[in-house]
Amino acid sequence: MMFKLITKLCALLIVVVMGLLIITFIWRTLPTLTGEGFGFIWGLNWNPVTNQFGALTAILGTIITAAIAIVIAVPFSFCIAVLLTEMLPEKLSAFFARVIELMAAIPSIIYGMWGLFFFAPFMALYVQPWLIPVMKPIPVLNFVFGGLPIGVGILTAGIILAIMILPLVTSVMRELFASSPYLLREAGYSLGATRREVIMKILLPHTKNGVLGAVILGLGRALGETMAVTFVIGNSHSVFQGLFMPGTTISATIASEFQEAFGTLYPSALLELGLILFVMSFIILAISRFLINSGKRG
Amino acid sequence: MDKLGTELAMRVKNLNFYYGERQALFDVNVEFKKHHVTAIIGHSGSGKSTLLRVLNRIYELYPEQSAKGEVNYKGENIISKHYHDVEKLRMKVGMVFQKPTPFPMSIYNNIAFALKNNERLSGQKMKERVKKALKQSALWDEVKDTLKKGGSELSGGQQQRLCMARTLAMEPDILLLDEPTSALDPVSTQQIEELILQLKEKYTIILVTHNLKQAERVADTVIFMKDGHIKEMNEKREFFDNPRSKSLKAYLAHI
Amino acid sequence: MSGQMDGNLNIEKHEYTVFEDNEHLKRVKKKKSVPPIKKITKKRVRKTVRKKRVLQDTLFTITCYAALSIALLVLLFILGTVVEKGLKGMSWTLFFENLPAIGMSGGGIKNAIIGSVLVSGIAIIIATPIGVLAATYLTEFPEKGVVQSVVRFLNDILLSVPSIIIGLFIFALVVKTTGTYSVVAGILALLMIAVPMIVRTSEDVMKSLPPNLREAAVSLGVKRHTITFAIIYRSARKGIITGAILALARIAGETAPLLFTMLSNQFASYSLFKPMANLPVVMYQYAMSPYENSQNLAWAAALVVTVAILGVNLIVRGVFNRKPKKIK
Repeated sequence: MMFKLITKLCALLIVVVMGLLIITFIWRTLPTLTGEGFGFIWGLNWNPVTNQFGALTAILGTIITAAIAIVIAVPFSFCIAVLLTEMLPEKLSAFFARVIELMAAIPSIIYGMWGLFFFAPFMALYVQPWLIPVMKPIPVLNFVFGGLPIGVGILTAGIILAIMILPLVTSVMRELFASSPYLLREAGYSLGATRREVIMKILLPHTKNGVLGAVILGLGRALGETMAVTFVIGNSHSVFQGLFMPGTTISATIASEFQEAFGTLYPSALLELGLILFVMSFIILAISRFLINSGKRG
Repeated sequence: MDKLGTELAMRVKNLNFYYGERQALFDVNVEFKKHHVTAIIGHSGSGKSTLLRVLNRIYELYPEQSAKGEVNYKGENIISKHYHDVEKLRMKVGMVFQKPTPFPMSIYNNIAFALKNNERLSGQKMKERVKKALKQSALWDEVKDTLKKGGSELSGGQQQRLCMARTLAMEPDILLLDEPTSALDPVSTQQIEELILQLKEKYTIILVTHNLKQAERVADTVIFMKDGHIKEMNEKREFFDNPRSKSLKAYLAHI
Repeated sequence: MSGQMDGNLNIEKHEYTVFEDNEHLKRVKKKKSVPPIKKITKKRVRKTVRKKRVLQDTLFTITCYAALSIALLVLLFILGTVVEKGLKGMSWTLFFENLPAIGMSGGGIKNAIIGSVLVSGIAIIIATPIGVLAATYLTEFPEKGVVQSVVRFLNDILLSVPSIIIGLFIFALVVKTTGTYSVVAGILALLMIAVPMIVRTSEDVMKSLPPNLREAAVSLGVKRHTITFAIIYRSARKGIITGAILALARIAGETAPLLFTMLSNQFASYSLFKPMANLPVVMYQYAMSPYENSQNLAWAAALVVTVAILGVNLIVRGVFNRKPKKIK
């Protein structure tokens, strides 16, 4: 039947586009793919002038900022999700849930601009000047928290990312908690457990797959975020030298160097960075989807 | 002598039905008499609705469901691969579902919708057909002044009668009713049951119900199904007063 | 209390002291009995344990409220900054004049607003039918085999792919081959973001319709496409439109996809095959510039964008109505 065929074509369009995406990426990155091969991933040197492109600094930066974002955002998300489902009355809960969702609707470039014009100066003026000297005498920590009080840097980018992924992770967790059977909690309460105990010892273990999935979903989002990070990371291709030093991520590199990429190798390198990012997000998102679905069923 | 067409509305022969790998109907053989009300009763999962849904091929909407065997209507096997005019079949074998499902349109359009789709009728003729259908389902007097109202604004019982009117407007031969009153209140249930008794003069009615009393009230013939098999089939009084099979006796005692 | 007590609270067995339940008295008299000290400590321990648990519970509750408060505070700061700096960049000419060169004062964002409206609007107008039809295939015509699962899976991936990758893809495919940034490329990139969103929301809405509705229409012998348009779409109308509007709000704020495909244009060019001005890329270029004039303009644009997008979100979903499924 004609109608069914038309709908099928529209659906298959998605498959075609996806295939085209993968093919195009591979095709256009052939110069660096064949040129440097896997060395690209481990290379530390990113020097357009000498045509040396090593992705490791960008990859590490991506992972470190995403990790910081997760470490900060997840506890917040968990607490807020719990508050919304277990502690607040219905109307208040719905209201604040909407507010959190509105946070997600704000375009990421706005977060980036806020980061550059408000938050980074804030860090430079109020946080870094005392934190760096405080950490100086402590071994290891003085390296981790080292750097210059310039505001922009890896930690700042991580914090902005945390703010960005918070609404997403909160929403997923909230849905998970809301959809778990109330009988579980009743069993706990009737045994005299406190609310905290019911949450931590009954609810959380019951939804742990889904919660993990939500965390990984947030991770996936943090890995790919571009605009918020580009504004505040400082764009420097140096290996990690401290949280308060500038750095770069894959997406920040691509976004800031794209316009000036000359020659054949440079753009190809940037595209290959994109390919790496694509593969990373694909894997992370597949894992998260699997976990969340099994969490919802469980 | 083949009584199909004169005394029988439909004949089912060696029907087997599958949900994917799982078989749900086993070698079902049954004849449905014309202008009779045949009630099918049994536990949930016994295959009653499954059987009903073969008779108008509605199961085809779901790719994992399949039927093998013969269902003979007007000389043809309607579930054979060669039978192609399924849309016409469905106009002649109408179905009403458990939950009333008014279309998102006015009462008038609910009924006119399928008519418009299948026949070319002038405005006047259309109005007459709609009125006739609503009268047949005893809804006309209640809605004749509010035909423009949305179908979902009616009460549950009225919605169900609207769904019946929809089906009757197609002037079918056979009506398949799948637990038509289980979602309704007792008053509406009674109205629908009276309707069934009136309609049987013109139509053949096959009714699936889990309500034994209802079967006793409206049916002429009753069929008992268990686990996808037909265990017993008899004229109503014989069926309830002299059950023969062990499973039926257990079922009647149980309820 | 009578009786001797050494440092370990060892009260001699035959002494009576006041306890809450008199069971103890009976027990003490027996020869083989639980020494009274154990009963005391169990109760006292139970009481202190209980206090500790209650304390933990209270602390936990406080932590959760604190978490929400901090998050709300951050949101307020962000919105506050946008409003404050945005108002600073406001001028009478904002909506009526085109972009000034970077570094110059004056001017407005008229061409950027028009550009954003054009490119997002066209993208949504194309994306909605495609998305709805694709969702229709998945819900109305279930099929055996893997095709539908593959489509759903790939749709989910496209839904979550970072938007920079989509920008890069269209760049590599379209911009490089045509040799120019263009509105067409921009629309294609936004399409790739919008279509999966619409497929997802439409599928959710259509799936939630009662199956009997479809069956009832089919039982009347009505043709499938008529059923889909007259009944399914009409019943799902609200949800589908909501999904489309939310997709519009999302693509209107996306920077990365346009950065690589349509870039921006200082001038009011609306030609399909050239770059066109748009708010997000303008914000990026002007905010990153070292000129205060341009930064102010970027903030004014940010205010406009934020108000528009949040406004759309609020109107579409209302403050108390919650949509059951989240999109990304």
